[in-house]
Amino acid sequence: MINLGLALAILGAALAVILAGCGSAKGVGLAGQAAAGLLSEDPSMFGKVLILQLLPGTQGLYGFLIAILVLVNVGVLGGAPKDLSWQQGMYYLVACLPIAFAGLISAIHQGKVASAGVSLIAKKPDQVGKAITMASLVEFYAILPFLISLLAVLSVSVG
Amino acid sequence: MKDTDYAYAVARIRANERYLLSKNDIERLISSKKLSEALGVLKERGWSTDGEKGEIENAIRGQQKALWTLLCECVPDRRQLSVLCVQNDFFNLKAALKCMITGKDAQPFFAYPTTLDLENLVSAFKSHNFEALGGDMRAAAESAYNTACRTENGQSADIIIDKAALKIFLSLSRESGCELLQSAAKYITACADIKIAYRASKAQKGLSFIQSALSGESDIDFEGLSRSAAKGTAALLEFLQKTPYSKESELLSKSSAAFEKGVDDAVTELMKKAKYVFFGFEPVAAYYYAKTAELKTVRAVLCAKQANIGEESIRERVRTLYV
Repeated sequence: MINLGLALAILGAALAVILAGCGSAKGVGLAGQAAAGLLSEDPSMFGKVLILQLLPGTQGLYGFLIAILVLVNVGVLGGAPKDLSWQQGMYYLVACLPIAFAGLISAIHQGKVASAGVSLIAKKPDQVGKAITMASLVEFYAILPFLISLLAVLSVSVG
Repeated sequence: MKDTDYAYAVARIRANERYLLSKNDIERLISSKKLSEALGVLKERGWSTDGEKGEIENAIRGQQKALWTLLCECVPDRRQLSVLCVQNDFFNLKAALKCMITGKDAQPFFAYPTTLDLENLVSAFKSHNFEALGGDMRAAAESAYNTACRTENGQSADIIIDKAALKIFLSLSRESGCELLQSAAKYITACADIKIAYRASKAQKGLSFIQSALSGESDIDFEGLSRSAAKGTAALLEFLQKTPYSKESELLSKSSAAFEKGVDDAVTELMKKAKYVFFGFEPVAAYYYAKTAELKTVRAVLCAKQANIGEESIRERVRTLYV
């Protein structure tokens, strides 16, 4: 029988995966469209644009890691769900929110920067380093919420 | 349609911008000793210049075809491209009408790229059935055809088609949602009205003719423009000096060629803003105008080489480049 606390914790894990994953899907998709545009003219640029297309995908990975940690902590993955109070469940839910929402927004924006970076490389192929650096700067604002979510999930102990 | 839907198109357009001719390339073309040498420069830049006869037109047509194919493959919705071709489409309408009246073959006079099926266009005039043209173009074609048959005056038919072209151009530019294109369309329409007024004043046409010929769609005071043109070219140029088109007035006082070049250069300068746009229709439209200006320059240079015209005269006709 799933109690309210466990349901809230699972909801947190689901939000981390769904929102960050949706953001990454959108970001990678956008960068992928731009990459396809460039590759249709110059297939030799594949290696350069692949990094740019991959960058917005990390948020989905961060959300996935947080969700796995939550599910392990509450025993769902071990096959023995723990009996959580609603306060403990709420704690997990709130702990998941930073990567869920910041992951969603930052992945979309990183996708836009990556896509613009592909256009930059299309015109000036020697500027690949700058394009990757600009897209990587957005990553910083996905790493910060990921660390907060990670520390918050790791710091709670459930009996 | 969202701006981000153009991510694929913009990346492809940027990749192709690398192949636009640079100032250096144009300078090499101008300083070529012979036409064959100039064609060699173009060949080095990836142009197809293999045609035996009519090499210039073959080279230009090859680029026009490649441009249109690229744009059609790029954009999420091909219907958006009609705004770029609307002037060529209506030019072709005029060509088809005139050739029907004179009994000439229209093919050599057609402008490219065009969204029209040119065979259908010619047969529409032959059969007097304009249903296939659709919408506003059908109305303009029918009206121009009837006017030409009734009055036996090609000029009246031209006026109908030109006015319809400008009206539809403005309307499509607004529908495109592309601010750059809207600005360009406004400017081009105003310059078209200036040109009509100037020609009419040169031919000493009356006020009623001038007012019927002007599109009335531009941001220039309609009454002021038409009345000053009716008074003569000096009055017209003086009137234009008081409008935002004083620079165009000065160019017009030099020559029609200088005016045409000035208009093309101003549109290119306007389109340069698209260099800083990464999503949306702007880079696509800018590339179209950039390539069109490049082709005009190349045609002018090659024709001048063929006619052995001096380098300085050629430079006067070279358009501002986008790159």
